[in-house]
Amino acid sequence: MNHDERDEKLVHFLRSHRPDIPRESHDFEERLLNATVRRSLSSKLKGMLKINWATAGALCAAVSLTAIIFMRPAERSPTHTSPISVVTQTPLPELSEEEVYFFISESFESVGTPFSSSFDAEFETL
Amino acid sequence: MAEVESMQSWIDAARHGDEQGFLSIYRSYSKKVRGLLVQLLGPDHLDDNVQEVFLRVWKGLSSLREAQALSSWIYRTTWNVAMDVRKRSAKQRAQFNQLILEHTLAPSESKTEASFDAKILVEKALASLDFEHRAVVVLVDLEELSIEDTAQMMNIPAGTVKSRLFNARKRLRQFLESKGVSL
Repeated sequence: MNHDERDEKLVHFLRSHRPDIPRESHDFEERLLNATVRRSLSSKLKGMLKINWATAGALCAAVSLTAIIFMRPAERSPTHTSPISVVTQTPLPELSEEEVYFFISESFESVGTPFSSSFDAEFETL
Repeated sequence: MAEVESMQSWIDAARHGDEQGFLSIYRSYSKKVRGLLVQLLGPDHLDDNVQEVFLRVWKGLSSLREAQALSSWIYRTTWNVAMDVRKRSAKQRAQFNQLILEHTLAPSESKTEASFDAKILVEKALASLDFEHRAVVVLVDLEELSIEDTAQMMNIPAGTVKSRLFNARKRLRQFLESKGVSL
């Protein structure tokens, strides 16, 4: 038997006894179609994200550029500062001694503490 | 295999999102693709690998110009998926091949191997080859592709395909003869 004939015999044996092909799962076609939908959505989402990143980048650049162009030099100087907020304080009204005494004793009694008579006496000596 | 005209209509339909067109392409080629993948990679994860092939087919249909090229393009896609899977699971494959070889070359089995199912014997013989040699045998001898088509698909010179084929056949013959098959 020559070399070609031996090869032919080998190939014939291989083809005659090639491995079995396992059957596909019963829902394979359905799974495949679902997978195509998922991949399609995924591709579209990726495309949208690319566009949105580009838009966001362009917006940031535009805002930065606007701020640089329109901000006055004086405002950009660190020496020129303006107060962020101003707290207005109303001056307390001037009270007489009797009014102060009344205010303090009322305050003490409102929290359940009697105003001390000794303190009362001391207050009178002041 | 379907005729070129119906193939073209399926391709056009699938390009416009028609599921039936795509399923018709799948049904025409699924057996071929499954056969090629199981011979190249084994039966593990076969459904997943077939799905990956047809997802790539579905995605790339818009760039396919001629219906006549569909067959070779699907083959090429199958080959690419097989290569990707092979790269991903290099470690697992090494373990699998070692297991197969240990199982196959066990001395206690040598006498009974001749009566073993011939299909399993061929499967083991193919598994005993390294991937490059097995791929050449599968594509040329089992799938009946030409040397040139195989070379193009594997991206190697035709001479390399021939030399690999020569060596692979020699090893297969030795393996099978050692198991009692006269060739």
